[in-house]
Amino acid sequence: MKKISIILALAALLFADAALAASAVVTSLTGTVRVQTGAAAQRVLRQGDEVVQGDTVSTGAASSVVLKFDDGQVAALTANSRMQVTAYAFNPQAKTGNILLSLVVGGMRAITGLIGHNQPDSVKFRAATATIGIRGSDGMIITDGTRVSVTVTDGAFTFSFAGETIVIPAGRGAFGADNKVTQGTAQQVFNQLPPAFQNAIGGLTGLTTQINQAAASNNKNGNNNNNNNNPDNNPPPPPPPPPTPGPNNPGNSTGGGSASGK
Amino acid sequence: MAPAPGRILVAAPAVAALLWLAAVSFRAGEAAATVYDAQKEMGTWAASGAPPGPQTLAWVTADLERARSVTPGDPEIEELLGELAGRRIDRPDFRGEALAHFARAIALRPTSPYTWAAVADARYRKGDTGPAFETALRRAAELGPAEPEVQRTVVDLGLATWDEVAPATRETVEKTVTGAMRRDAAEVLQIAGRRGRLAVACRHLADAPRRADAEGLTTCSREATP
Repeated sequence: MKKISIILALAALLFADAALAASAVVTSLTGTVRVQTGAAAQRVLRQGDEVVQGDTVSTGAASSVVLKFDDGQVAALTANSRMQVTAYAFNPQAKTGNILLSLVVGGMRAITGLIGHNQPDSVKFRAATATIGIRGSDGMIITDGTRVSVTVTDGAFTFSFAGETIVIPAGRGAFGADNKVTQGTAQQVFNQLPPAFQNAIGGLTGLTTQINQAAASNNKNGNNNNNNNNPDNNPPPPPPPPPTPGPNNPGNSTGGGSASGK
Repeated sequence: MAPAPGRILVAAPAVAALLWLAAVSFRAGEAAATVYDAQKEMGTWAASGAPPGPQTLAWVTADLERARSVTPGDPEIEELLGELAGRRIDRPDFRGEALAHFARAIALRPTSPYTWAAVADARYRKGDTGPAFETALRRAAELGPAEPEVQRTVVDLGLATWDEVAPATRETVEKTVTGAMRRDAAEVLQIAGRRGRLAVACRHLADAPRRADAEGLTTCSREATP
């Protein structure tokens, strides 16, 4: 019986468009960042650690983390954020897979990789009740658990909130709150955001260097998926609206990282 | 002609002992075959990159637990069970269960650098990077200074916790970095780069026999550039 199971499993591997185990690597980290795998207790995350499907990453105050996925996708979290890698699979041979990142609270900047380039419909982000799809490569998502803002730097994002779906092109943004969505230029949307949202955007802006380094660096397999294969990510996108200083906005400070100093 | 009663008295226990030995050998052989099958199965997961499903994990675990009941002193079974337990993320204390198996394997085979490396890895994944983690890391390095798999684990986890470990542990990790650089400088530079600790590896580039490797030189000269 067991041998039959092995044969069936191997056959399934041969014939399926295998969705292989894939991961992200922490390329930059400041402050205190924790990860929870499955039902286990949280543990400290360090630079170079892997994050896999099902993991939930949480950043503390004055903390941040930049993750680079196997397909070249980059996700950066600012302070006081929590994000779950709800689904992530990548087949490096076929350069296909799927990704679903759920931002529970906080701010995330996402630059898509090969999956986003080859199969845009297979890349999704969730924030509170909003679902964000991609038609481009670079944007910021902020949520406090009920309200959601999206700012697009490159390409376009689809934003579904309170039964409404809109397309947000580069340079523009949207803010979903109280069951309605308001749109405008990135600066207009930024100006109407609550201070905590502005702080989160400021924190992400402070991570631009680390994010661009992650996008440009080789992945753990030694392949530079992002830059060689995804022209959308090169050159680096223009910076988002100016940050507003605040307690949750560490800006360019990189103090406190347990493994980042050299 | 009936055999003499004396002969029966001698032969019967001998036959019984032989039968008992045969039965024990058969069960041990069966257990060994089960361990072999489990290793083969687990090898396919690593080779394919496809994670096993919960059912697969459950039946491989059940098989190994049966094998352990036959040969309870086999450290290899405990190590395999530890590896399996570490994959059962649906269980609240799967990290602790994995560590418990590796700890039993260490009790059975205290001189295996691979098992000590597995203990260090299990502790790291559990978030326990205290003295017991450091002891495991040091023992692994001391017992298997030239074992590639051990070197990889010690360099990786040692550089990950570089700022946190005691000076003695850091010294052991650095020695392992030196040895690993001699074996495969490119691999060590890749690990060190991922951990943000290129400086530690680059100061041993001169020890690497293929130190003229262009990529390594470029990586380290980039690291040296402020």
